[in-house]
Amino acid sequence: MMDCENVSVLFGKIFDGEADEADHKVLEDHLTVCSACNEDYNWYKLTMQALNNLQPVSPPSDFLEQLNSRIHPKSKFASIKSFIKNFLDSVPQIPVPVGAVSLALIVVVAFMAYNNTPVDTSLAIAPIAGARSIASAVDGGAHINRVSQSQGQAAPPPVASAPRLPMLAANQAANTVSSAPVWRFPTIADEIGGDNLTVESPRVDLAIESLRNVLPNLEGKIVDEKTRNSFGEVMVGVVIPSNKYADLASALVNHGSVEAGTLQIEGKALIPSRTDSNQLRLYIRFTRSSQ
Amino acid sequence: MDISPETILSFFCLTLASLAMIPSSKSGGDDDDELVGRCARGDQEAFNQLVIKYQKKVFNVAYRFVGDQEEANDLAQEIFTAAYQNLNKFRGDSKFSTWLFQIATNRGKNRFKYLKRRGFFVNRSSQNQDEDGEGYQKVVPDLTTNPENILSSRQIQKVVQDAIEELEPDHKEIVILRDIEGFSYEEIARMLDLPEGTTKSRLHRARMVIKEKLKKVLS
Repeated sequence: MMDCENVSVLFGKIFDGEADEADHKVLEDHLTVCSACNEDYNWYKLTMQALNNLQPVSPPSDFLEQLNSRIHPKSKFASIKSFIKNFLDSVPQIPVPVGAVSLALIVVVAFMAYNNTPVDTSLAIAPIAGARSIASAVDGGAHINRVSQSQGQAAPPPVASAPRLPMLAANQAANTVSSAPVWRFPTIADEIGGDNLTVESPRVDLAIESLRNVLPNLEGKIVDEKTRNSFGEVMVGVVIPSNKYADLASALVNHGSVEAGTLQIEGKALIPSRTDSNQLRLYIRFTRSSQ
Repeated sequence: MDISPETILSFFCLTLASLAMIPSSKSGGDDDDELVGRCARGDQEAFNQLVIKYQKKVFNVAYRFVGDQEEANDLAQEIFTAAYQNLNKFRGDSKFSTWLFQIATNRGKNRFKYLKRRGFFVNRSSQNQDEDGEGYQKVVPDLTTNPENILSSRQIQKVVQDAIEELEPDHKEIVILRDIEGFSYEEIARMLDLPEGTTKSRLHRARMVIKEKLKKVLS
């Protein structure tokens, strides 16, 4: 007689339809005399029935759509289009032009809100010796501002009725920036990526002339110059030795582009945004003051 | 040599039958060839038809691997995506369905291992017990009276699904393909690249494990 272990192998053959008559006979004979195998066989039968009777699960009705959007993801433009369409469709009681105007308004407001986000000046200027500041020189209607590099955004010109000295020291200047985040149209500085100084003067031409006079003494030179007449702005790219940065602002004052009384600059407070070995490239934005 | 008309007729019939068998054995009786060919030429509609044809079966295989609708849906999508992206690698020396379910079992096994590593099944099991407020011990079937009802009951279905989940991945895939989806041993051996003997012995062991689990829970 076959032993129990080998009999259990026959279970599979029986249920797979691979058992022949002899197998059936062996199994039947064994089960009549072995109650343990008989019980086992009943459980095996139940197991097979349970496996074969597992209820099928259905995929979601939009399975194909989900798959197609996974294989062919919509472009960003298509998503925006579909958002606008859904937005307009979701408010059928509003006429389409009104919906479109509302949407445009939302976009404009969001854009303005985005641009009004206060600027972190610590990103604009990398400090040395603890100085964290915006360079701003004002005197007699002219002032020099440090322009944000990372934000590509010039600091707003201070409205100063009295001459005010630009301090490279941290606190004062930091307050100046964070207190007046005003949205404005992009300037030349933004376009060029200028990020260093803004000179505001009633006579832009004289200020630039002063710069030309100053530069030879500082071993510097003008490397770029762009104008935008409608705004009266001139952007001048300058290359000077890195250690002459502080001297430049002083020299601008001394040569008349900025009529400073006393100019305080912490000589090495600023790290140049672009350096070429020991050469510093900076952009000076000359803009006409309202005075 | 004397050849009777019956012999000639028998030979003729046999030849015809053989000729009729050749194309079906070459394609494996698979009518997907045309769709696959169109699909390989970039026909999206042909691919959609293949998806519609196999989505239920693929979804079921996926579900049996992971035991969760959401995960199964994601897995099934992954399987079809992989098939779509690798269609150029399908050489046509097996049926498309065999190739597709080969991908399905590979991906299913990988997903199961991934979820197991992350404790997905442990968390789900305890969560289910909390939600149902009932354990297996409440299921006390009377096997002598109404086996049909018992087998279709939700509890038994769950016991079987859990027993499948607890199998080793190498055993699980064979049970799913053979006992749930009904593939032949030959197809399974081709899908899993295993000898038929190994396939059968693994299946036997897997069935015995499930049987013991059912016995333990339902006795």
